[in-house]
Amino acid sequence: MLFFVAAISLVFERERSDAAILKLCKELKKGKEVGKSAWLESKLGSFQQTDFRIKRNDINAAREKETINRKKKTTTKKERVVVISEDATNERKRKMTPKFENGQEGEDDETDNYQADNGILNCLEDESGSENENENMSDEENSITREFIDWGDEGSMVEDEEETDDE
Amino acid sequence: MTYAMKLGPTLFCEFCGYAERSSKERNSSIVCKNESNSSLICVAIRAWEECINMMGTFSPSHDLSSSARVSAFLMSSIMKYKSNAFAVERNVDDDDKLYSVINFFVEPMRNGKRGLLKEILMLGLDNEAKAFCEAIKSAASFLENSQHRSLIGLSILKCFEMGRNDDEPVHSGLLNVDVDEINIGNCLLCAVKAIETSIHLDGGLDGETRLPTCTSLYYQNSANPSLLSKNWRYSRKFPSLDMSDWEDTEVRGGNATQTFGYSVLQVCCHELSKYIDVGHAFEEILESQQVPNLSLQNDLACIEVLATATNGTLSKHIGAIASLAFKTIENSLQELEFLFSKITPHVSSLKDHRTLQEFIAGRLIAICDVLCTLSPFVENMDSTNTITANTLKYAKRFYMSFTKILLSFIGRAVDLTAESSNMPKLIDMISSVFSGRFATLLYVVQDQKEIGKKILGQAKIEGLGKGTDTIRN
Repeated sequence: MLFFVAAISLVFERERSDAAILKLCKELKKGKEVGKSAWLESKLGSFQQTDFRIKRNDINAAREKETINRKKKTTTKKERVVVISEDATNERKRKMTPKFENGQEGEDDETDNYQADNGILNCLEDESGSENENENMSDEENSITREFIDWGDEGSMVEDEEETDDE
Repeated sequence: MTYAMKLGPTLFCEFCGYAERSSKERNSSIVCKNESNSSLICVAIRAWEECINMMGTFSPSHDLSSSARVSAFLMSSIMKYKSNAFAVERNVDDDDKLYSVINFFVEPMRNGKRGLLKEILMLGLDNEAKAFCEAIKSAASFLENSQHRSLIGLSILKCFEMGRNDDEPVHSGLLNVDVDEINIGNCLLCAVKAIETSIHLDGGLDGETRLPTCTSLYYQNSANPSLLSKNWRYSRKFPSLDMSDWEDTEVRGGNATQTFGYSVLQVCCHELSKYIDVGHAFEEILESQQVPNLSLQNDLACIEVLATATNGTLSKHIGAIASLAFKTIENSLQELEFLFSKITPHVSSLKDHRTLQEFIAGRLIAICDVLCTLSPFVENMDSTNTITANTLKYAKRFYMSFTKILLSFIGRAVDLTAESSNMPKLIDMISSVFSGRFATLLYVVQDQKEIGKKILGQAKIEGLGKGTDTIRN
């Protein structure tokens, strides 16, 4: 575990330093210091020549895989929303349990990784000074968040109904 | 202070008397090693050390400076044992006087006479020599001049050298030691302590960095509270918070650079690498890369003493030196993080900002060098891989500081590539050596197995790398 954390954070910090060098390269290019920018970029090249360089084909494949998985998840959640709106507490409980039963380990790991990646992205975006994070979000992510909001509202409504029934 | 002045010289006389008696016993082949006496003498040396600390304690109401008080104390200690042993130099400033007195203790050979530390080592009094090194460390801490401190540390290391020029006549020193047999090889505890002391006196990993000059003497007896607080910080060797002090900087090393050219820790790590096997993954890399051989001119005898110890305690001593190295790296990184978080945000002028950047870059070069030197050997340093994990952790913190200093150049990126700057050298070092070494070390770690499972998840690493790659695009 000690190795695990140390190794991951080391790679992450190295990537951050690469990103900082790229930023400086861009700034040098803007200031028409092409020679200096090329020199700095050559240093970055040697950073990437290690065995831990990022393989673009793998990334594209992973992206495609992730988008397919997300589409699947959105469809199941839409169905669930409809069911909840039709019936109240019993139905809700019944439909909530399959979520955990059907949830495979691989899917959990993927969501965890996805969240971790998002965390890193947010950190880096904060440092790079980019604003309006919501603009960068994809349509799919927006739709997921909207569904969650809708689901939450309906859940609260269901609880209200329960209270009135008890009375 | 008065009691310290009375008690200290008596304690020193006890110590010297014990050492001289053990020398005579050794010559007359009467071996009666009394351990209780030895431990009592160690206590006496520690009490003497406390007296030194008490004498040097900062007191603004005293007429004499700290270094003048400590040198007076040390001289009275020597005079009490032998009145004609040390000639007081006149017309020199307080700092030079203190340097001269401490040198009397630690210099291996002075005007044909052996130094006190050398004599104790020759007698094989390991525990006593260790305690004495600690006392010297306390005394030398009151030296204002950083070069003097470095030189004292080097003299301590030189005491372990056994060879001498046969043409020079050797007279016995303070203890009248006349031993033909050299017992330095038995002084393992003292060797570790000597390395620790010299690293401390050399200023850790200052290396080629520039430090603000010490000007505490100018603020003595000042009524201004801000100057007094500044003086208080100086007296405790804290870094200066006043940026005006950073304008007058001195290059670290000085005369010590003529001996080593690097900081003591860097030389120790290079020397240590002679005695540890290189990891399999690093063999090819080390063959292809030109590794600087720092120990061509100067061998560190104390490392040799530890490595050639007959009782098979090499791994223990290597662990001790490795932990010293990591402690020093930790201190340096902490200092850099302190500068980034507490000082850099308050620096307004461009000149001060540049000085700070140069200081940080110099420190990073020294850390980079030590980590690069240690990385091929960490695999074989211990069986539990704790040292490897620590090395990875420090490399991570190193990259954090490196990123911060890079980001500090945003808006003035042209300064980054200035020839007079340390930054091009640092970037070169990282791209050519450091990066490759730690990529290899990660592979080494990946191959380590724990309970039949791989510890390092390649998928996780690529996953994190992926995140940052999207930013680039």
